[in-house]
Amino acid sequence: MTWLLNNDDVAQVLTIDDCLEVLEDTFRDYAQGKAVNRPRAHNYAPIGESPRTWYMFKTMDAVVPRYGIGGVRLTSDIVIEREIDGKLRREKPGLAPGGRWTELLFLFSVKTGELLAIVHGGYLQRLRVGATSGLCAKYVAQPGAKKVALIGTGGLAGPHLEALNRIYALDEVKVYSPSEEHRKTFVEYWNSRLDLRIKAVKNPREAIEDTQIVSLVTNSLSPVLDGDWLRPGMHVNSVQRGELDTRTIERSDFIVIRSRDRDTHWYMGPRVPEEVKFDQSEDPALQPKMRTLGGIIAGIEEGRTRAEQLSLFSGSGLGSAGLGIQLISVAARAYEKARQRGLGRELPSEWFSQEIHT
Amino acid sequence: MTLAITNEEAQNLLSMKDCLSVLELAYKELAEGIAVNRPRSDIHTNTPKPEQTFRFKSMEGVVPGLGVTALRVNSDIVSWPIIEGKQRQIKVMAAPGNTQCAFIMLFKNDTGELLAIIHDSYVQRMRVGAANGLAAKYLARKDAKSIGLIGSGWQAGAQLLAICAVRPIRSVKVYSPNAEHRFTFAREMAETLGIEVKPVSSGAEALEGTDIMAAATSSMVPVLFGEWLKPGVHVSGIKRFEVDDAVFKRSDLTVVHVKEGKGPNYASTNAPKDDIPYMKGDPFDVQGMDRMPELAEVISGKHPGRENNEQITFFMNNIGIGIQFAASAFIVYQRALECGIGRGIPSDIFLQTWHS
Repeated sequence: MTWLLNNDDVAQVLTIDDCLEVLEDTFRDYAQGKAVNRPRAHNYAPIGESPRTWYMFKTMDAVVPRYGIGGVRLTSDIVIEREIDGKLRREKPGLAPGGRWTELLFLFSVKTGELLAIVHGGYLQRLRVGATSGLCAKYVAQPGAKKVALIGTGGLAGPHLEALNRIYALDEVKVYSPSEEHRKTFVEYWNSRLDLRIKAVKNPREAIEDTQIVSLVTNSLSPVLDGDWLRPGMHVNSVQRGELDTRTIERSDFIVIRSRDRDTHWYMGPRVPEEVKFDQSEDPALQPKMRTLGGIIAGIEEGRTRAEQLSLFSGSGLGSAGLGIQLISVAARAYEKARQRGLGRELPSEWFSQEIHT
Repeated sequence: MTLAITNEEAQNLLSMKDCLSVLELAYKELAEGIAVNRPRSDIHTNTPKPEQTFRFKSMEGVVPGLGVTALRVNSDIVSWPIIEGKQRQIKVMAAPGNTQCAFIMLFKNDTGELLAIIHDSYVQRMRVGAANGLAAKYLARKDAKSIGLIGSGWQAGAQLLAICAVRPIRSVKVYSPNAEHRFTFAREMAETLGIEVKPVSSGAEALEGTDIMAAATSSMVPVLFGEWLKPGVHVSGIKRFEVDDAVFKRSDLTVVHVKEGKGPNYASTNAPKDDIPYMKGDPFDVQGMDRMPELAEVISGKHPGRENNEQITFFMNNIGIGIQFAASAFIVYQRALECGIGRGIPSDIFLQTWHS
């Protein structure tokens, strides 16, 4: 039997606590070779005449025996690079019927090979990014952190806030986004949901004053913070290389990454997108600073050893793109809970299975 | 609307002729660097049954000229038993109803939406055959009239269909170790192709004096030998294991399907790595491959292909690629739309109203 879970189904069952628990186990399994990951692939193909528009088909595979699940996650997007206010941004317009997007996970049974579920990826993607940053902060930020700065108020900001608050029982969060309206809306919404002080500030420097943790959660392809503003002992979470300046990377005493395997495999023609140009994952100078999240969780690699160390949890483009194991594991949890609650829509299994073998 | 299409339906929608012409277009785009492939990758882990392994296989390809992309997945339960002293690979039909979970997803590039979910088996067969058919079109002698074939399975039939579509073949000799299989195969293929197909009792006899020599077996040891090759012959292979090293040595022009054929084999610590034959060496790696042209280069004219009637040519279809699925599935989908075949699924069940 094959089940289809949409974002509403996932949102009804999946919590940040689920994600924290599942990801901690999965990263430990990965470090120990029990869970397996095929690094993400970005296939770029030209669309139309615009030199900065592509079709991008992205996939990543994983097998996580702990949950008896293997699978693939895919996105099928149109990507446009555009300059806004002098800053280069990457946009993914919803061009499928109804102004929608395609982001799907396929979960297969390790026991029988059958397709158990197709899960929409949007909701759980945001949750798992936040939860993974929370998990990293749990292991490498200074114990007893009370104050957090959030730079960015997009879809990834809320889950970051929730995850960090679960780990550290925060007192105060300062939020910056270049749009005054966005930061105001964000602060109002989260103040009504969480019992802590969340306030908007007018610039990123003010946001990081006296905070122990900084989370950068933007899609900016130019730096959003000056690394010289950081203080010893801070922990920085970042979701992608584009938002970081080189100073932050230089000043970090160690960089936590998701995997030592390739960050991204690119397949493309002559039009090269920006993300390829600034990828620093294989930079030999940075390798000695890198340690893996799974290794730290499993106790195989060292995390923070001194209070004054500046730590950075990096994202894509800096050796730490999202992994299939993260998404497949979190989706497996959502599937399990949705089955218990009777949520989802049944699809005929015979669409996906055949009698003739190949 | 997203269409779900079965093997039985696909069989009536995709002819070998159409498959050959759409793949030709896809290979030309590949040679120009416009079409892209993500090489196949396999992940292995154990199952609760010690003799069975879960193998998750995926590959994808984008063909901008057709405006489509395909992801092909095989979620297999596999075992590698030793039968009569020889190791074989067996796929276990472990999914409910004795089925195997394997399908192709076709996407539309300019909107990103899922167009179709298509069973894998029939398209898989056609695209393997068509690649060898195209190789024969560019590498076999123009006047090639006869084929010697070793193998009588699913892929052997596709080889004949494809090669007969590109050359004026009048006779075929076929050998496979099981007499019943080769007789049945010969009778059925003679009917399908309308030419003489003769079962014979050895591989050497099947290939003797033929213009094209083909192998399509599941053998992990050589069945086609270099010493049998005569000037002017074209050899068509689908597995590295099936031919001995002498075939590579005696061939004047060896063309491989693709050089960047296979991503790494991934396995969890509990997977039975020692029992999986291809974990010990890469079967897709052809020695000296760096110096050989790829099929797409020959099709696009970047490489001249056969240059005279005395050359021995050899095509090794070392591994499949995603664009074959994108191109073939595109035809299946187009014809299904035209003929009103397949089950329509509202597309919005696969689409979300936001993105991450």
